[in-house]
Amino acid sequence: MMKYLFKCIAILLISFNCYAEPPVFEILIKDHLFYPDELVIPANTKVKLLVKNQDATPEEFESYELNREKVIPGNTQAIIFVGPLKPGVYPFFGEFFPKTAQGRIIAKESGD
Amino acid sequence: MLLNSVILVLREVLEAAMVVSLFMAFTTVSQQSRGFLLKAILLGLIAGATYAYFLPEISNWLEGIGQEITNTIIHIGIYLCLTGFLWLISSNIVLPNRLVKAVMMAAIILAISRESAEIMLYISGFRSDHFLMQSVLSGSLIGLGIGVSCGIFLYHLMIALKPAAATKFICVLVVVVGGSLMSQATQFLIQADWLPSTEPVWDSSHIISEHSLPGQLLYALMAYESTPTLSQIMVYLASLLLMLVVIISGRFSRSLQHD
Repeated sequence: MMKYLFKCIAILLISFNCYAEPPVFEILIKDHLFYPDELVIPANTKVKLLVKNQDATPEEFESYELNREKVIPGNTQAIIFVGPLKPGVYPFFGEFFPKTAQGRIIAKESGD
Repeated sequence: MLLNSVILVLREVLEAAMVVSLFMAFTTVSQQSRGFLLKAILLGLIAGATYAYFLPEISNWLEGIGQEITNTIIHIGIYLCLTGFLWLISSNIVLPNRLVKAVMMAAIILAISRESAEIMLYISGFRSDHFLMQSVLSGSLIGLGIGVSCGIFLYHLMIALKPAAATKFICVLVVVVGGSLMSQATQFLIQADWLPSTEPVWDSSHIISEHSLPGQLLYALMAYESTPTLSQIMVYLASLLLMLVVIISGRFSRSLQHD
């Protein structure tokens, strides 16, 4: 019985390990611009974007290509899960200041 | 800035205007007063202001996905109200029934709270910049005007029909809006990582781009995505199906009562 229980726990731990925390990438919003405006992330991997809005004004992170939208109030930060993405370029923009706040995520395979 | 504000506000207003005009038309067709709908709009604006005010705190809930979960709850809430509305009117429980009024009011309050919160937050960002504020305010007013006009147009389109046809048309639109709300809710859950993110099933961006005007209008009407995922499509279809089942079972229970 104990052996069986241990096996179950081991299998669970292994499967939890598969769902390990995704890598975190930071994007800053300052003066209605994204820094960096070009972010390279690994392809076929789920990543966590940490978007820090350093402006006093709110901004909405939006991307049609990534199917993402999130309002980030002034002087706060937000997390947005992205991917796993096929290799390629995925533009994003700030909906509140779209003229300046433009950026793109580039998903690259590790060997590229 | 002006054009940007017009587009931003219009996008938000269109979605809420759809829900409001559907119910406005329904009250007109069933010859009832519309006072309670105006009350719902006002309450929705108050709820929206509250949501916008507490958004920084709400965003931090659940380790940073509070906003997605709140939006999901709002969307599911509107969907349930719309489904309840369909059941009531299919089983011939029409106005002035209090329950019919309550589901209509709740749907409007929820729809307006979410859409207006974003607009209020956007405009409030310019409070320290009087120069930009002027163009943002005029742009927002134009956007609001176009959005409300679209709602009024839809309303007149519906009430121009004969009452029976109008009710059918309202039901069809309620089903379309319902599916779209659930599709968006699914998207929020994927963004929050509560649902797995999978590859898009198709890419129709070369036919209708989400950046284009038709794409934006289709988004407001039926949550058009050029690259939808399987879970979004499944939830969309299941929500439509559930509403159709509710309409049919409502009609069935009505026919049983008549027998």
